[in-house]
Amino acid sequence: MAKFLFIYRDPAEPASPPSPEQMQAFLAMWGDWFQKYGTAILDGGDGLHPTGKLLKTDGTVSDGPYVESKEIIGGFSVVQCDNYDLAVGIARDCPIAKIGGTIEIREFAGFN
Amino acid sequence: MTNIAKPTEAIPDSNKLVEHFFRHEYGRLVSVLTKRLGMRYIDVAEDCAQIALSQALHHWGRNGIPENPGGWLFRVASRSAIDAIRKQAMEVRAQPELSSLPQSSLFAEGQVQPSDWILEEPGALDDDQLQLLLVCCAPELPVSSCIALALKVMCGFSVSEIAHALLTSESTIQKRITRAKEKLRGDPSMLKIDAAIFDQERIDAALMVLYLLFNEGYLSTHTRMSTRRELCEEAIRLATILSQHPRNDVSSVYALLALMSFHIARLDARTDEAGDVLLLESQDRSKWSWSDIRLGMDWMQRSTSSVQASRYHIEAAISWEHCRAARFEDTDWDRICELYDVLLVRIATPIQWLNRAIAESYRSGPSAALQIIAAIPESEHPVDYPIWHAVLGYLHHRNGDLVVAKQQWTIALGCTHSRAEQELLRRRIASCS
Repeated sequence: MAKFLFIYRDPAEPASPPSPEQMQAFLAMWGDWFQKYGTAILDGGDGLHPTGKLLKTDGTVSDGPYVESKEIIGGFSVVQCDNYDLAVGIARDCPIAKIGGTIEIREFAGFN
Repeated sequence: MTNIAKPTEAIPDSNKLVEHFFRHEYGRLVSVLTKRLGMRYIDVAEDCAQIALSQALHHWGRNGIPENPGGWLFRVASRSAIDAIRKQAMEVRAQPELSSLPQSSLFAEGQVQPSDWILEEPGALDDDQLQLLLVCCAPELPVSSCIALALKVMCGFSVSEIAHALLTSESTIQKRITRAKEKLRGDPSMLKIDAAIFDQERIDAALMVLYLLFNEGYLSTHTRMSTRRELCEEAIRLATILSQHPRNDVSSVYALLALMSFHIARLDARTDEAGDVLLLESQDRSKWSWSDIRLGMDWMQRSTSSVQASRYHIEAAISWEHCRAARFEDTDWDRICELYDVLLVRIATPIQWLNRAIAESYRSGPSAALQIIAAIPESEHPVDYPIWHAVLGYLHHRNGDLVVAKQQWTIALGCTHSRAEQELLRRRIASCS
Protein backbone atom coordinates (compact mmCIF):
# COMPACT_ATOMS: atom_id res chain seq x y z
CA MET A 1 0.00 0.00 0.00
CA ALA A 2 1.23 3.46 -0.84
CA LYS A 3 0.28 6.74 0.75
CA PHE A 4 -0.54 9.83 -1.23
CA LEU A 5 -0.89 13.45 -0.29
CA PHE A 6 -3.67 15.27 -2.10
CA ILE A 7 -2.96 18.97 -2.32
CA TYR A 8 -6.04 20.99 -3.20
CA ARG A 9 -5.51 24.12 -5.24
CA ASP A 10 -8.29 26.66 -5.66
CA PRO A 11 -8.28 29.47 -8.18
CA ALA A 12 -6.75 32.52 -6.44
CA GLU A 13 -9.74 34.64 -7.36
CA PRO A 14 -12.97 32.68 -7.51
CA ALA A 15 -15.60 34.25 -9.75
CA SER A 16 -18.10 34.78 -6.95
CA PRO A 17 -18.59 33.14 -3.57
CA PRO A 18 -20.78 30.04 -3.73
CA SER A 19 -24.40 30.46 -2.70
CA PRO A 20 -25.70 28.66 0.40
CA GLU A 21 -27.50 26.19 -1.85
CA GLN A 22 -24.27 25.45 -3.73
CA MET A 23 -22.40 25.03 -0.45
CA GLN A 24 -24.93 22.49 0.77
CA ALA A 25 -24.62 20.58 -2.50
CA PHE A 26 -20.85 20.70 -2.08
CA LEU A 27 -21.11 19.35 1.46
CA ALA A 28 -23.23 16.48 0.17
CA MET A 29 -20.50 15.75 -2.39
CA TRP A 30 -17.90 15.52 0.40
CA GLY A 31 -20.21 13.17 2.25
CA ASP A 32 -20.51 10.94 -0.82
CA TRP A 33 -16.76 10.97 -1.32
CA PHE A 34 -16.01 9.91 2.24
CA GLN A 35 -18.72 7.28 2.02
CA LYS A 36 -17.29 5.84 -1.16
CA TYR A 37 -13.59 5.92 -0.23
CA GLY A 38 -13.88 5.81 3.53
CA THR A 39 -11.31 3.05 4.00
CA ALA A 40 -8.78 4.63 1.63
CA ILE A 41 -8.93 8.11 3.13
CA LEU A 42 -6.47 7.95 6.01
CA ASP A 43 -6.85 11.57 6.94
CA GLY A 44 -9.55 13.90 5.69
CA GLY A 45 -6.99 16.62 6.29
CA ASP A 46 -8.01 20.20 6.71
CA GLY A 47 -8.67 23.40 4.85
CA LEU A 48 -6.13 26.21 4.92
CA HIS A 49 -6.69 29.91 5.41
CA PRO A 50 -6.11 31.77 2.15
CA THR A 51 -3.37 33.98 3.62
CA GLY A 52 -0.08 33.07 5.22
CA LYS A 53 3.59 33.97 5.50
CA LEU A 54 6.58 33.23 3.34
CA LEU A 55 10.09 32.90 4.76
CA LYS A 56 12.61 33.57 2.06
CA THR A 57 16.24 32.46 1.84
CA ASP A 58 17.48 35.92 2.69
CA GLY A 59 15.64 35.63 5.98
CA THR A 60 12.89 38.09 5.15
CA VAL A 61 9.29 37.22 5.83
CA SER A 62 6.47 38.39 3.64
CA ASP A 63 2.73 38.14 4.03
CA GLY A 64 0.61 36.23 1.57
CA PRO A 65 -1.41 35.94 -0.58
CA TYR A 66 1.25 35.98 -3.26
CA VAL A 67 0.25 37.76 -6.40
CA GLU A 68 2.48 35.64 -8.59
CA SER A 69 0.44 32.46 -8.06
CA LYS A 70 -2.75 31.87 -9.97
CA GLU A 71 -3.88 29.20 -7.55
CA ILE A 72 -3.68 28.98 -3.81
CA ILE A 73 -3.42 25.84 -1.72
CA GLY A 74 -6.80 25.44 -0.10
CA GLY A 75 -6.41 22.18 1.78
CA PHE A 76 -5.12 18.63 1.76
CA SER A 77 -6.00 15.00 2.50
CA VAL A 78 -4.01 11.79 2.90
CA VAL A 79 -5.09 8.75 0.91
CA GLN A 80 -3.84 5.19 1.04
CA CYS A 81 -4.16 2.86 -1.95
CA ASP A 82 -2.14 0.48 -4.12
CA ASN A 83 -0.97 2.69 -6.93
CA TYR A 84 -1.14 6.03 -8.71
CA ASP A 85 -3.96 4.94 -10.98
CA LEU A 86 -6.20 4.24 -8.01
CA ALA A 87 -5.14 7.51 -6.36
CA VAL A 88 -6.01 9.44 -9.50
CA GLY A 89 -9.38 7.72 -9.58
CA ILE A 90 -10.09 8.76 -6.00
CA ALA A 91 -8.99 12.32 -6.77
CA ARG A 92 -11.20 12.43 -9.83
CA ASP A 93 -14.24 11.78 -7.64
CA CYS A 94 -13.20 14.36 -5.06
CA PRO A 95 -15.51 17.40 -4.81
CA ILE A 96 -12.54 19.74 -5.29
CA ALA A 97 -12.03 18.35 -8.79
CA LYS A 98 -15.72 18.69 -9.55
CA ILE A 99 -15.94 22.37 -8.72
CA GLY A 100 -13.04 23.58 -10.79
CA GLY A 101 -10.11 23.17 -8.40
CA THR A 102 -7.02 21.17 -9.22
CA ILE A 103 -5.54 18.39 -7.12
CA GLU A 104 -1.85 17.67 -6.94
CA ILE A 105 -1.19 14.04 -6.07
CA ARG A 106 2.18 13.18 -4.48
CA GLU A 107 3.28 9.83 -3.19
CA PHE A 108 4.90 9.65 0.25
CA ALA A 109 8.57 8.69 -0.09
CA GLY A 110 8.38 6.50 2.98
CA PHE A 111 11.52 7.83 4.70
CA ASN A 112 10.08 7.08 8.09
CA MET B 1 -1.64 16.36 11.21
CA THR B 2 -4.91 17.70 12.38
CA ASN B 3 -7.88 15.56 13.29
CA ILE B 4 -6.92 12.12 12.06
CA ALA B 5 -10.23 11.06 10.67
CA LYS B 6 -11.75 7.71 11.31
CA PRO B 7 -13.71 7.85 8.13
CA THR B 8 -15.89 4.82 8.61
CA GLU B 9 -17.40 6.18 11.81
CA ALA B 10 -17.04 9.86 11.12
CA ILE B 11 -18.65 9.84 7.73
CA PRO B 12 -20.43 13.11 7.35
CA ASP B 13 -23.90 12.05 6.49
CA SER B 14 -24.96 15.11 4.59
CA ASN B 15 -28.31 13.50 3.92
CA LYS B 16 -29.15 14.30 7.50
CA LEU B 17 -29.49 17.94 6.59
CA VAL B 18 -32.94 18.83 5.40
CA GLU B 19 -33.31 20.28 1.95
CA HIS B 20 -32.34 23.97 1.71
CA PHE B 21 -30.90 23.84 5.22
CA PHE B 22 -27.99 26.14 4.36
CA ARG B 23 -30.24 28.64 2.62
CA HIS B 24 -32.72 28.83 5.43
CA GLU B 25 -30.00 28.95 8.08
CA TYR B 26 -28.49 31.85 6.20
CA GLY B 27 -31.80 33.70 6.56
CA ARG B 28 -31.98 32.90 10.26
CA LEU B 29 -28.41 34.04 10.89
CA VAL B 30 -28.83 37.28 8.97
CA SER B 31 -32.05 37.95 10.89
CA VAL B 32 -30.60 37.34 14.31
CA LEU B 33 -27.41 39.32 13.63
CA THR B 34 -29.18 42.22 11.95
CA LYS B 35 -31.57 42.42 14.86
CA ARG B 36 -28.61 42.80 17.21
CA LEU B 37 -26.40 45.01 15.07
CA GLY B 38 -29.06 47.21 13.53
CA MET B 39 -30.08 47.58 9.93
CA ARG B 40 -26.99 49.65 9.10
CA TYR B 41 -24.89 46.54 9.51
CA ILE B 42 -26.95 44.15 7.44
CA ASP B 43 -23.94 43.65 5.14
CA VAL B 44 -21.78 42.62 8.10
CA ALA B 45 -24.55 40.21 9.12
CA GLU B 46 -24.62 38.74 5.62
CA ASP B 47 -20.82 38.37 5.54
CA CYS B 48 -20.82 36.61 8.91
CA ALA B 49 -23.59 34.24 7.83
CA GLN B 50 -21.58 33.43 4.70
CA ILE B 51 -18.42 32.84 6.74
CA ALA B 52 -20.26 30.50 9.12
CA LEU B 53 -21.66 28.43 6.26
CA SER B 54 -18.31 28.30 4.56
CA GLN B 55 -16.61 27.09 7.75
CA ALA B 56 -19.36 24.52 8.20
CA LEU B 57 -18.75 23.25 4.72
CA HIS B 58 -15.06 22.70 5.39
CA HIS B 59 -15.46 21.38 8.90
CA TRP B 60 -18.54 19.21 8.50
CA GLY B 61 -17.32 17.87 5.19
CA ARG B 62 -14.41 16.22 6.98
CA ASN B 63 -15.69 15.65 10.48
CA GLY B 64 -19.37 15.00 10.09
CA ILE B 65 -22.35 17.12 10.95
CA PRO B 66 -22.58 18.22 14.59
CA GLU B 67 -25.57 17.31 16.68
CA ASN B 68 -26.96 20.80 16.69
CA PRO B 69 -25.92 22.24 13.33
CA GLY B 70 -28.00 25.39 13.80
CA GLY B 71 -26.33 26.16 17.12
CA TRP B 72 -22.89 25.51 15.64
CA LEU B 73 -23.53 27.99 12.83
CA PHE B 74 -24.91 30.53 15.25
CA ARG B 75 -21.78 30.41 17.42
CA VAL B 76 -19.42 30.78 14.48
CA ALA B 77 -21.45 33.61 12.98
CA SER B 78 -21.69 35.46 16.31
CA ARG B 79 -17.96 35.19 16.81
CA SER B 80 -17.21 36.61 13.38
CA ALA B 81 -19.69 39.41 14.00
CA ILE B 82 -17.89 40.32 17.23
CA ASP B 83 -14.52 40.20 15.46
CA ALA B 84 -15.84 42.46 12.73
CA ILE B 85 -17.17 44.96 15.26
CA ARG B 86 -13.94 44.97 17.28
CA LYS B 87 -11.90 45.49 14.15
CA GLN B 88 -14.11 48.37 13.18
CA ALA B 89 -13.84 49.88 16.66
CA MET B 90 -10.04 49.65 16.54
CA GLU B 91 -9.93 51.33 13.16
CA VAL B 92 -12.03 54.16 14.52
CA ARG B 93 -9.67 54.57 17.46
CA ALA B 94 -6.57 54.50 15.25
CA GLN B 95 -8.00 57.04 12.86
CA PRO B 96 -9.98 59.63 14.80
CA GLU B 97 -11.26 61.19 11.60
CA LEU B 98 -13.33 58.05 11.13
CA SER B 99 -15.13 58.55 14.39
CA SER B 100 -17.73 60.70 12.73
CA LEU B 101 -18.79 57.67 10.73
CA PRO B 102 -21.73 55.74 12.09
CA GLN B 103 -20.54 53.08 14.48
CA SER B 104 -22.21 49.86 15.23
CA SER B 105 -25.17 50.50 17.45
CA LEU B 106 -24.03 47.58 19.53
CA PHE B 107 -20.62 49.06 20.08
CA ALA B 108 -21.65 52.68 20.30
CA GLU B 109 -24.36 52.19 22.84
CA GLY B 110 -21.92 50.25 24.97
CA GLN B 111 -24.78 48.68 26.82
CA VAL B 112 -24.71 45.30 25.19
CA GLN B 113 -21.64 43.18 25.80
CA PRO B 114 -20.77 40.60 23.20
CA SER B 115 -20.95 37.95 25.89
CA ASP B 116 -24.60 38.79 26.40
CA TRP B 117 -25.55 37.36 23.12
CA ILE B 118 -22.85 35.01 22.03
CA LEU B 119 -24.16 32.43 24.46
CA GLU B 120 -27.73 32.97 23.57
CA GLU B 121 -28.77 29.79 21.83
CA PRO B 122 -31.07 30.06 18.88
CA GLY B 123 -34.60 29.06 19.59
CA ALA B 124 -36.81 32.07 19.53
CA LEU B 125 -35.19 33.03 16.26
CA ASP B 126 -38.42 33.10 14.32
CA ASP B 127 -39.25 36.33 16.03
CA ASP B 128 -36.11 37.88 14.54
CA GLN B 129 -36.99 36.51 11.14
CA LEU B 130 -40.46 37.94 11.42
CA GLN B 131 -39.08 41.37 12.25
CA LEU B 132 -36.53 41.34 9.43
CA LEU B 133 -39.26 40.23 7.05
CA LEU B 134 -41.32 43.25 8.02
CA VAL B 135 -38.26 45.46 7.52
CA CYS B 136 -37.71 44.01 4.04
CA CYS B 137 -41.36 44.58 3.13
CA ALA B 138 -41.15 48.30 3.80
CA PRO B 139 -44.21 50.05 2.35
CA GLU B 140 -41.96 52.82 0.99
CA LEU B 141 -39.92 50.43 -1.17
CA PRO B 142 -41.00 49.25 -4.61
CA VAL B 143 -42.46 45.75 -4.37
CA SER B 144 -39.93 44.39 -6.86
CA SER B 145 -37.12 45.50 -4.52
CA CYS B 146 -38.83 43.95 -1.51
CA ILE B 147 -39.07 40.62 -3.31
CA ALA B 148 -35.41 40.67 -4.33
CA LEU B 149 -34.28 41.75 -0.86
CA ALA B 150 -36.37 39.10 0.90
CA LEU B 151 -35.04 36.37 -1.40
CA LYS B 152 -31.49 37.52 -0.71
CA VAL B 153 -31.42 38.11 3.03
CA MET B 154 -34.26 35.89 4.27
CA CYS B 155 -34.09 32.97 1.84
CA GLY B 156 -30.35 32.88 1.16
CA PHE B 157 -30.61 33.08 -2.63
CA SER B 158 -27.53 34.48 -4.36
CA VAL B 159 -27.97 37.39 -6.75
CA SER B 160 -27.50 35.09 -9.71
CA GLU B 161 -30.06 32.62 -8.35
CA ILE B 162 -32.61 35.42 -7.89
CA ALA B 163 -31.97 36.71 -11.41
CA HIS B 164 -32.39 33.20 -12.77
CA ALA B 165 -35.60 32.58 -10.86
CA LEU B 166 -37.19 35.92 -11.73
CA LEU B 167 -36.07 35.78 -15.37
CA THR B 168 -34.11 38.99 -15.21
CA SER B 169 -30.49 40.10 -15.19
CA GLU B 170 -28.04 39.95 -12.30
CA SER B 171 -27.30 43.66 -12.58
CA THR B 172 -31.01 44.50 -12.28
CA ILE B 173 -31.32 42.40 -9.14
CA GLN B 174 -28.09 43.80 -7.69
CA LYS B 175 -29.35 47.35 -8.23
CA ARG B 176 -32.68 46.61 -6.59
CA ILE B 177 -31.01 45.11 -3.54
CA THR B 178 -28.38 47.82 -3.20
CA ARG B 179 -30.94 50.61 -3.43
CA ALA B 180 -33.29 48.94 -1.01
CA LYS B 181 -30.50 48.48 1.52
CA GLU B 182 -29.34 52.07 1.12
CA LYS B 183 -32.81 53.32 1.77
CA LEU B 184 -33.33 51.13 4.82
CA ARG B 185 -29.90 51.94 6.23
CA GLY B 186 -30.60 55.64 6.03
CA ASP B 187 -33.92 55.34 7.81
CA PRO B 188 -33.39 56.34 11.46
CA SER B 189 -36.23 54.09 12.59
CA MET B 190 -34.19 51.14 11.35
CA LEU B 191 -31.31 51.67 13.79
CA LYS B 192 -33.05 49.43 16.18
CA ILE B 193 -35.43 46.78 15.03
CA ASP B 194 -38.01 46.14 17.68
CA ALA B 195 -41.65 45.46 18.27
CA ALA B 196 -42.57 48.89 16.94
CA ILE B 197 -42.36 47.34 13.51
CA PHE B 198 -45.50 45.34 14.14
CA ASP B 199 -48.01 47.71 12.62
CA GLN B 200 -50.86 46.78 10.34
CA GLU B 201 -49.54 48.81 7.41
CA ARG B 202 -46.34 46.77 7.37
CA ILE B 203 -48.21 43.51 7.65
CA ASP B 204 -50.39 44.50 4.71
CA ALA B 205 -47.28 45.40 2.70
CA ALA B 206 -45.68 42.07 3.62
CA LEU B 207 -48.81 40.20 2.54
CA MET B 208 -48.69 41.89 -0.84
CA VAL B 209 -44.97 41.13 -1.26
CA LEU B 210 -45.50 37.45 -0.43
CA TYR B 211 -48.58 37.27 -2.65
CA LEU B 212 -46.55 38.59 -5.58
CA LEU B 213 -43.56 36.41 -4.76
CA PHE B 214 -45.88 33.42 -4.88
CA ASN B 215 -47.29 34.56 -8.21
CA GLU B 216 -43.77 34.90 -9.58
CA GLY B 217 -43.45 31.17 -9.08
CA TYR B 218 -46.98 30.16 -9.89
CA LEU B 219 -47.61 32.18 -13.03
CA SER B 220 -44.02 32.15 -14.25
CA THR B 221 -43.21 30.48 -17.51
CA HIS B 222 -39.82 29.48 -16.18
CA THR B 223 -38.67 26.34 -17.89
CA ARG B 224 -37.62 24.63 -14.69
CA MET B 225 -40.54 23.47 -12.58
CA SER B 226 -38.22 23.08 -9.58
CA THR B 227 -37.39 26.80 -9.68
CA ARG B 228 -41.03 27.79 -9.82
CA ARG B 229 -41.94 25.49 -6.97
CA GLU B 230 -39.08 26.88 -4.89
CA LEU B 231 -40.39 30.43 -5.20
CA CYS B 232 -43.88 29.28 -4.17
CA GLU B 233 -42.48 27.31 -1.25
CA GLU B 234 -40.40 30.25 -0.06
CA ALA B 235 -43.48 32.49 -0.17
CA ILE B 236 -45.36 29.93 1.92
CA ARG B 237 -42.45 29.60 4.36
CA LEU B 238 -42.24 33.36 4.88
CA ALA B 239 -46.02 33.65 5.19
CA THR B 240 -45.92 30.96 7.86
CA ILE B 241 -43.37 33.05 9.76
CA LEU B 242 -45.67 36.06 9.35
CA SER B 243 -48.58 34.04 10.71
CA GLN B 244 -46.73 33.75 14.04
CA HIS B 245 -47.16 37.45 14.54
CA PRO B 246 -47.84 38.06 18.21
CA ARG B 247 -50.15 41.01 17.84
CA ASN B 248 -52.72 42.40 15.47
CA ASP B 249 -55.11 40.48 13.35
CA VAL B 250 -53.37 37.76 11.36
CA SER B 251 -56.47 36.19 9.86
CA SER B 252 -55.55 37.73 6.50
CA VAL B 253 -52.19 35.91 6.74
CA TYR B 254 -54.08 32.65 7.30
CA ALA B 255 -56.27 33.44 4.31
CA LEU B 256 -53.19 34.09 2.16
CA LEU B 257 -51.73 30.76 3.31
CA ALA B 258 -55.00 29.04 2.37
CA LEU B 259 -54.88 30.67 -1.05
CA MET B 260 -51.25 29.63 -1.55
CA SER B 261 -51.95 26.05 -0.45
CA PHE B 262 -54.90 25.67 -2.84
CA HIS B 263 -52.73 26.99 -5.65
CA ILE B 264 -49.56 25.03 -5.00
CA ALA B 265 -51.75 21.90 -4.87
CA ARG B 266 -52.43 22.44 -8.56
CA LEU B 267 -48.98 23.63 -9.62
CA ASP B 268 -47.71 20.40 -11.16
CA ALA B 269 -50.95 19.88 -13.09
CA ARG B 270 -50.68 23.32 -14.69
CA THR B 271 -48.21 22.24 -17.33
CA ASP B 272 -48.00 19.25 -19.61
CA GLU B 273 -44.90 17.16 -20.19
CA ALA B 274 -43.62 19.58 -22.80
CA GLY B 275 -43.87 22.44 -20.29
CA ASP B 276 -46.87 24.02 -22.03
CA VAL B 277 -49.44 25.75 -19.88
CA LEU B 278 -52.64 23.74 -19.46
CA LEU B 279 -55.89 25.56 -18.86
CA LEU B 280 -58.00 24.50 -15.91
CA GLU B 281 -60.38 22.50 -18.09
CA SER B 282 -57.57 20.34 -19.52
CA GLN B 283 -55.79 19.60 -16.24
CA ASP B 284 -55.54 16.09 -14.89
CA ARG B 285 -57.16 16.59 -11.48
CA SER B 286 -55.69 13.36 -10.14
CA LYS B 287 -52.35 15.19 -10.16
CA TRP B 288 -53.58 17.73 -7.64
CA SER B 289 -51.98 17.39 -4.23
CA TRP B 290 -54.65 16.51 -1.71
CA SER B 291 -52.36 17.02 1.23
CA ASP B 292 -51.86 20.64 0.15
CA ILE B 293 -55.60 21.10 -0.35
CA ARG B 294 -56.23 19.73 3.13
CA LEU B 295 -53.62 22.12 4.51
CA GLY B 296 -55.39 24.96 2.72
CA MET B 297 -58.66 23.95 4.34
CA ASP B 298 -57.01 24.10 7.76
CA TRP B 299 -55.67 27.57 7.08
CA MET B 300 -59.06 28.64 5.78
CA GLN B 301 -60.70 27.39 8.95
CA ARG B 302 -58.30 29.45 11.05
CA SER B 303 -58.79 32.53 8.87
CA THR B 304 -62.48 32.76 9.73
CA SER B 305 -61.70 34.18 13.18
CA SER B 306 -61.89 37.66 11.70
CA VAL B 307 -65.10 39.53 11.07
CA GLN B 308 -63.49 41.45 8.24
CA ALA B 309 -62.76 39.43 5.10
CA SER B 310 -59.61 40.50 3.26
CA ARG B 311 -59.07 40.14 -0.47
CA TYR B 312 -57.10 36.99 0.35
CA HIS B 313 -60.15 35.47 2.02
CA ILE B 314 -62.15 35.99 -1.15
CA GLU B 315 -59.41 34.75 -3.45
CA ALA B 316 -58.90 31.69 -1.25
CA ALA B 317 -62.62 30.99 -1.44
CA ILE B 318 -62.51 31.18 -5.25
CA SER B 319 -59.50 28.86 -5.33
CA TRP B 320 -61.29 26.47 -3.00
CA GLU B 321 -64.27 26.34 -5.37
CA HIS B 322 -61.93 25.08 -8.10
CA CYS B 323 -60.30 22.55 -5.78
CA ARG B 324 -63.56 21.05 -4.62
CA ALA B 325 -64.93 20.41 -8.10
CA ALA B 326 -64.24 16.77 -8.94
CA ARG B 327 -64.47 17.51 -12.65
CA PHE B 328 -64.29 20.78 -14.58
CA GLU B 329 -68.01 20.42 -15.40
CA ASP B 330 -68.79 20.27 -11.69
CA THR B 331 -67.42 23.76 -11.04
CA ASP B 332 -69.92 26.02 -9.31
CA TRP B 333 -69.61 29.03 -11.63
CA ASP B 334 -72.52 30.87 -10.01
CA ARG B 335 -70.64 30.88 -6.73
CA ILE B 336 -67.35 31.86 -8.38
CA CYS B 337 -68.99 34.77 -10.24
CA GLU B 338 -70.54 35.88 -6.99
CA LEU B 339 -67.18 35.80 -5.21
CA TYR B 340 -65.53 37.78 -8.00
CA ASP B 341 -68.27 40.39 -7.63
CA VAL B 342 -67.38 40.72 -3.94
CA LEU B 343 -63.70 40.96 -4.84
CA LEU B 344 -64.36 43.58 -7.51
CA VAL B 345 -65.92 45.89 -4.95
CA ARG B 346 -62.45 46.09 -3.39
CA ILE B 347 -60.06 45.74 -6.30
CA ALA B 348 -61.63 46.71 -9.57
CA THR B 349 -58.52 46.27 -11.69
CA PRO B 350 -58.85 45.27 -15.36
CA ILE B 351 -57.16 41.94 -14.53
CA GLN B 352 -59.81 41.12 -11.91
CA TRP B 353 -62.53 42.07 -14.42
CA LEU B 354 -60.85 39.76 -16.90
CA ASN B 355 -60.98 36.93 -14.37
CA ARG B 356 -64.63 37.72 -13.71
CA ALA B 357 -65.29 37.61 -17.46
CA ILE B 358 -63.64 34.19 -17.79
CA ALA B 359 -65.88 32.85 -15.02
CA GLU B 360 -68.89 34.39 -16.74
CA SER B 361 -67.93 32.71 -20.02
CA TYR B 362 -68.26 29.32 -18.33
CA ARG B 363 -71.51 30.28 -16.66
CA SER B 364 -73.35 31.88 -19.56
CA GLY B 365 -71.11 31.79 -22.60
CA PRO B 366 -68.39 33.84 -24.30
CA SER B 367 -70.55 36.70 -25.54
CA ALA B 368 -71.62 37.62 -22.00
CA ALA B 369 -67.95 37.56 -21.03
CA LEU B 370 -67.03 39.84 -23.93
CA GLN B 371 -69.72 42.28 -22.81
CA ILE B 372 -68.10 42.51 -19.38
CA ILE B 373 -64.75 43.29 -21.00
CA ALA B 374 -66.36 45.81 -23.37
CA ALA B 375 -67.52 47.73 -20.29
CA ILE B 376 -63.93 48.32 -19.14
CA PRO B 377 -62.80 51.75 -20.37
CA GLU B 378 -60.35 51.26 -23.20
CA SER B 379 -57.82 53.60 -21.60
CA GLU B 380 -57.47 51.10 -18.75
CA HIS B 381 -56.76 48.06 -20.93
CA PRO B 382 -53.37 46.54 -20.02
CA VAL B 383 -52.25 46.45 -23.63
CA ASP B 384 -48.75 45.13 -22.88
CA TYR B 385 -50.04 42.20 -20.86
CA PRO B 386 -49.93 39.04 -23.01
CA ILE B 387 -52.55 37.19 -20.94
CA TRP B 388 -55.06 39.98 -21.59
CA HIS B 389 -54.82 39.40 -25.35
CA ALA B 390 -54.56 35.64 -25.02
CA VAL B 391 -57.83 35.52 -23.07
CA LEU B 392 -59.54 37.90 -25.49
CA GLY B 393 -58.43 35.66 -28.34
CA TYR B 394 -59.74 32.64 -26.50
CA LEU B 395 -63.16 34.23 -25.84
CA HIS B 396 -63.53 35.42 -29.43
CA HIS B 397 -62.49 31.99 -30.65
CA ARG B 398 -65.16 30.34 -28.54
CA ASN B 399 -67.61 32.93 -29.83
CA GLY B 400 -66.84 31.79 -33.39
CA ASP B 401 -65.01 34.98 -34.38
CA LEU B 402 -61.79 33.49 -35.73
CA VAL B 403 -60.58 36.69 -37.37
CA VAL B 404 -60.55 38.72 -34.14
CA ALA B 405 -59.24 35.69 -32.22
CA LYS B 406 -56.28 35.50 -34.56
CA GLN B 407 -55.66 39.24 -34.22
CA GLN B 408 -55.62 39.07 -30.42
CA TRP B 409 -53.37 36.02 -30.32
CA THR B 410 -50.97 37.70 -32.72
CA ILE B 411 -50.78 40.72 -30.40
CA ALA B 412 -50.23 38.39 -27.43
CA LEU B 413 -47.42 36.66 -29.35
CA GLY B 414 -45.77 40.05 -29.82
CA CYS B 415 -45.69 40.85 -26.10
CA THR B 416 -44.68 37.58 -24.47
CA HIS B 417 -41.05 36.60 -24.00
CA SER B 418 -41.82 33.11 -22.82
CA ARG B 419 -41.03 30.42 -25.34
CA ALA B 420 -43.66 28.07 -23.94
CA GLU B 421 -46.34 30.73 -24.36
CA GLN B 422 -45.10 31.65 -27.82
CA GLU B 423 -45.35 28.02 -28.85
CA LEU B 424 -48.91 27.73 -27.55
CA LEU B 425 -49.97 30.96 -29.26
CA ARG B 426 -48.44 29.92 -32.58
CA ARG B 427 -50.41 26.70 -32.51
CA ARG B 428 -53.59 28.61 -31.74
CA ILE B 429 -52.99 31.14 -34.51
CA ALA B 430 -52.38 28.30 -36.96
CA SER B 431 -55.69 26.71 -35.92
CA CYS B 432 -57.57 29.86 -37.01
CA SER B 433 -56.73 29.60 -40.69
